[in-house]
Amino acid sequence: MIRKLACIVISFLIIIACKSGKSDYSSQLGLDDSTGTGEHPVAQEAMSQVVENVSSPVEMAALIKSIGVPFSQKYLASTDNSDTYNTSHSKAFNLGIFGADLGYLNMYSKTSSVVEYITVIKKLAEGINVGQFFDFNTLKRLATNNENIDSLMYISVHSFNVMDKYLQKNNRSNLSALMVAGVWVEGIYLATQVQKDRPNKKLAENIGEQKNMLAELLIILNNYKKEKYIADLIADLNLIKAKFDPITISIIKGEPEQVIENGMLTIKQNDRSVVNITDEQLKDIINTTEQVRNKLIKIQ
Amino acid sequence: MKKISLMFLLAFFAFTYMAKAQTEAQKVEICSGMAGADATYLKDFQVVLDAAMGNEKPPQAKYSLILQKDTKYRFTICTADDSPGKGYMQLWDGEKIIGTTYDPKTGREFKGFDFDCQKSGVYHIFFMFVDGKAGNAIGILSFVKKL
Repeated sequence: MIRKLACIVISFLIIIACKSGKSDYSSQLGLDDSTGTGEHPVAQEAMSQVVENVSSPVEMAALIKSIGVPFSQKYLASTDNSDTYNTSHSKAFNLGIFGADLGYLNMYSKTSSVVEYITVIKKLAEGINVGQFFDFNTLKRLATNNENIDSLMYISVHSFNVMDKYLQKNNRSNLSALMVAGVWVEGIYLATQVQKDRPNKKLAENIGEQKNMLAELLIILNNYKKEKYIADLIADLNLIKAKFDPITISIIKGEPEQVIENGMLTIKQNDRSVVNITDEQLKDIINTTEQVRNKLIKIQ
Repeated sequence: MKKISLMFLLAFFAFTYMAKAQTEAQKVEICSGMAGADATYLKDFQVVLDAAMGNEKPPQAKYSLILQKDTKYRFTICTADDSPGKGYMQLWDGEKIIGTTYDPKTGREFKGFDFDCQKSGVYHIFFMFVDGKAGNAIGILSFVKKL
């Protein structure tokens, strides 16, 4: 009896082990897609054709820090509502929101607040069955002991990338798209709030350039517009898009140069984009972004 | 005794599976570390390509990225120890090549390059293996600083 059972178990494990070579983790983790919304073969294909990093929790935070703006907790989304995000869509979207906030906290080394945010992120990630890719214990240890901020940043970003890849590979790219959208919405919100409090030419220009990122994001989201949550999100983002529409971005052409700097091959781009944005247009973007973002992170 | 053997086997298979998954993560971490202490990891690209058959064009993997203006990025490539071919990566802006870690004409190689981006937009990176060999490599995109 035991011999038969052993044969069955071993055969099963061998099949799983072979499948793992193609990075399909779902079967070994015993996951189903009950928290997703089914397969998206066409959208899956489309996702692979679009850009990898529409939004990054690092770059906007780095820009804000680089222009000398001090840290402010008031820009961050409250973790109080996290229990009310009870659909896979709202969990994925707010995972992106808190991911961007985590990037901002890490950028300013605010480790005391990191634990609160990673606790919520862990819960939301578990809610869409990707919690196993979020290295909560290591992040908590690094944050609690206020040690190795570089590792804290690396593990945070890497965890989000792994969750994103997993969702895409397992026919849940709709949730991946929502996560990406959450990161973008919180990133533009952070930038516009900082701009409102401490106007800065460089930041204004970067906000204007988000016109192109929003266009890419809408291309991704449109693959899933049949899902009500995403259709509503697209409608909200179109309110922001309407404020971006009058902005023009022109390109001054130039040839790239290669130089060696500190022993590293460095390519200096001599093309340059110029953003034409008026104070009034910027004000419209700031106000609309604030309204849309605050609506989106409310109880759903 | 049989029960113990069965449990041992189960543990062995579980460990093997976990170890494989962990190795991929470790490779990414090591390659990210190669980018240097001044670089912040943003994205990794795990590339496995077959060898070119006959006279066909060498296989390549393509990814599209958004890079932001006034930002210094670092592109790093790490070829796996057991890879038959040496991996290299190229950065393209539309139809124009911006940078490469290997120049087939001169044979010059770099473990990576920095890119001072002055124009936000969609860029493409291509991964290939020298002489169209099969290969296994990891590419890392890192953020260095705002310019």
